[in-house]
Amino acid sequence: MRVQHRMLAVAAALAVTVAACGNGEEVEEVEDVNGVEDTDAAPDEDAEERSLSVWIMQPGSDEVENIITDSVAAFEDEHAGVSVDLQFVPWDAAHDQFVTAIGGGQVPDVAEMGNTWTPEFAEMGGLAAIEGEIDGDYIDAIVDSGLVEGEAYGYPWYAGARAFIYRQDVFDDLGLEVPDTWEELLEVGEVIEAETDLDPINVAGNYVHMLAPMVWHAGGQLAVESDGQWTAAVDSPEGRAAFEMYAELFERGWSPQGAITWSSVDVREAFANEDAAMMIGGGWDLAAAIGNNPELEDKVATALLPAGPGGNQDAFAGGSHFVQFAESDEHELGREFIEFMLQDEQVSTFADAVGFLPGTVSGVEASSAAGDPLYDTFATQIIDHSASYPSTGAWGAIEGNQVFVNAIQQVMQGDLTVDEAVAQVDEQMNEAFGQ
Amino acid sequence: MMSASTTTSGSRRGRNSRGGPDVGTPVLPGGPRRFTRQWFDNRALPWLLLAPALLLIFGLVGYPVVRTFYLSFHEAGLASLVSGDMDFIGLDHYRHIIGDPHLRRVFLVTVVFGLSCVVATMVLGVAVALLLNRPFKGRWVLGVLVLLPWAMPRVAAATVWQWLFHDQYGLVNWVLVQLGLEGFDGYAWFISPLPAFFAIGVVVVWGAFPFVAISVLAGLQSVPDEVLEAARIDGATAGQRLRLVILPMLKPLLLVLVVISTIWDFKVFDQIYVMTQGGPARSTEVLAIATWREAFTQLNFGLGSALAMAMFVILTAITIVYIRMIREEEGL
Repeated sequence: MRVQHRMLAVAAALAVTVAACGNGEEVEEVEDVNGVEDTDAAPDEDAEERSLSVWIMQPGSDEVENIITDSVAAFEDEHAGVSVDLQFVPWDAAHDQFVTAIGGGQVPDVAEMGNTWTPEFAEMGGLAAIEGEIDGDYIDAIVDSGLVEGEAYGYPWYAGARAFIYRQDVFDDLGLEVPDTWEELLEVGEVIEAETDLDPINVAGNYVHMLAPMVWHAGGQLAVESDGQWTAAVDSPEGRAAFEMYAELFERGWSPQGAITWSSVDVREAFANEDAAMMIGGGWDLAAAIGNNPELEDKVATALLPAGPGGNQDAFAGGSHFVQFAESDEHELGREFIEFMLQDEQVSTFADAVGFLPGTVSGVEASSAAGDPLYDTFATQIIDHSASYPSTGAWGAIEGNQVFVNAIQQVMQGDLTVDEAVAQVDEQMNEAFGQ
Repeated sequence: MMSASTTTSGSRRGRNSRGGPDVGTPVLPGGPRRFTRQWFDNRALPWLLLAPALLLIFGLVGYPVVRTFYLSFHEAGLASLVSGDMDFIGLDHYRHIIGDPHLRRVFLVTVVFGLSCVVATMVLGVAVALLLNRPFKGRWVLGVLVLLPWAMPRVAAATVWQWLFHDQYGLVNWVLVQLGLEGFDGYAWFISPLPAFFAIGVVVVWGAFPFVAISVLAGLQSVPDEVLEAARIDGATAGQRLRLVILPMLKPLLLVLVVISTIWDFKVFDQIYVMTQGGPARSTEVLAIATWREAFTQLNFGLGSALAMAMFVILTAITIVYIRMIREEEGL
């Protein structure tokens, strides 16, 4: 009998352990934002109790979380009988969690989604297409990134584009002009290298949003669509020019060897530590760098990205969509929620707080970035000079497979020539496109 | 282990002797009805009581394993997971694994890296346990300090270590340069696989050795003083006492620890995911990372499942070998 007792105890312990493991994966449950009793909005007699589940990416600061929970509470006040079940999902875990949710049929009604993922989940049949025209003057590139076969799946919420950030004090001391082209960037870099201890500009092996747009700058495309079939286009003179420029910036010794595995965070960190004179980064990078090193505030300035030989200077339009899920039962209410969140006032308060720009042109104009010389550049960059990656479900797999990262890292390591690298990029992209 | 086997043989003996004084459940002589009752009490009732927990465990552990096995023979993307329609493709995924040079390399890397970590963890764990087993001042403080890495969440620890190993701003390079090793100024740990695996290995071993150390320490304290005393009187040196007396006595414990460490180190994920994400250029990918990449970034759940099954088979095989060794050990 004692043996059996022990077995029972072990079985129970195992069950507890297994259950505990499951718990760790769950998203952070936010306390009921409807804690305060509704006094003014007396519920209608016939208003039925409805609930809307919403997933928002964890913004990483209490201030921003409060802005979101306040908006959600305001929405609940306007809609009697509706309670919003709001959950914050960490960015790192978000893609896996959407996969699990759709695969397991346990989807939220509304979610914020990174705009490069929207086509991927839309093509899988996980998302609900937006019916009719979407209202509002959205930034084109952000709408485009949510299109699949002509149908829109994502409402742009906020957006960001990277621009050129540089040390005004260094440029003034050396009498340098802001570089408008790649050649000027190299010339300016040579002067900085010769005259100061600073790295002119850091590149990073794991920084797709700096590398990939350079294909556009050279006048090329990442991939082209014809009759619904995408074909990779990096193995082209323009693609080679972009990879060669990136490799050149590295091979000149303007970045440490470790930059092969650096990401945008390391680039920003080096700039914040006053180790580099120029960087490519977003408004959020600039804000973080100044946050780490307040002395920088008076020393930095911003400009549009230097144009490549193709005369193009587009940045990648990154951002977030609001999406609805195919299996949700609350499409109408979900849409009302999204439209509520996208009003100018809501969206600009939120975007300002996270260091991004609203996904609407009028929202950008209402935001505090407009008029601030340091941050105004990012608004101009995204409204006038931004583009989106190929809007295809395969892009998620290309990103996940680190196609660009692997190729440029091997070039930086000296394991591949530029010609081999762009051929490898195209081969892997075409594989993802199903060719 | 010891007490469990004693109890088993004790109760078995008790049942044979029919109501002897050392029996836990006295069995009264009686007719068939009593027999049924007795059968129910001894055989059925325990299983009945176990049933809820067993069902839960089979649901939570058994179902995923069966499902993974099933998926590994199918072409399963996200859409087919939702709809449930998927094509049976037989052993194609397994053929792909054998035919793909990158995945073959992943298996080799996983085995070499995993075994290296097991060896390092065991050596460090035993060494620290021997140290803690000696009476000296501050021993308990050290004991608590040793436990701390084990208590730290792996992702948080890996993030901190990633910064410690940072090429420009990392403490590791700074310390090495202060020690006179100028070559480590700006040394990039993660740009090639060997130093990257060294750095990751440090973090894995750092997180794993406390468990081994504390377990071995408990084992060391169960080694009777008389035996050591006798060995000392016979003229055995400290090294001989460790090699010929202590370690052989702890062998069953050490084998169990090796099994557990092997399972942990073969499926290491968090540390690599945080520190290199398998890069640069997929050179630090191990089996767990490759499985995750196929399933969750490529949405190729079939291939991901096949990789997971391969891991399952390898770990089961290793565990069986070790269990055989433990059995032989106990049989002596």
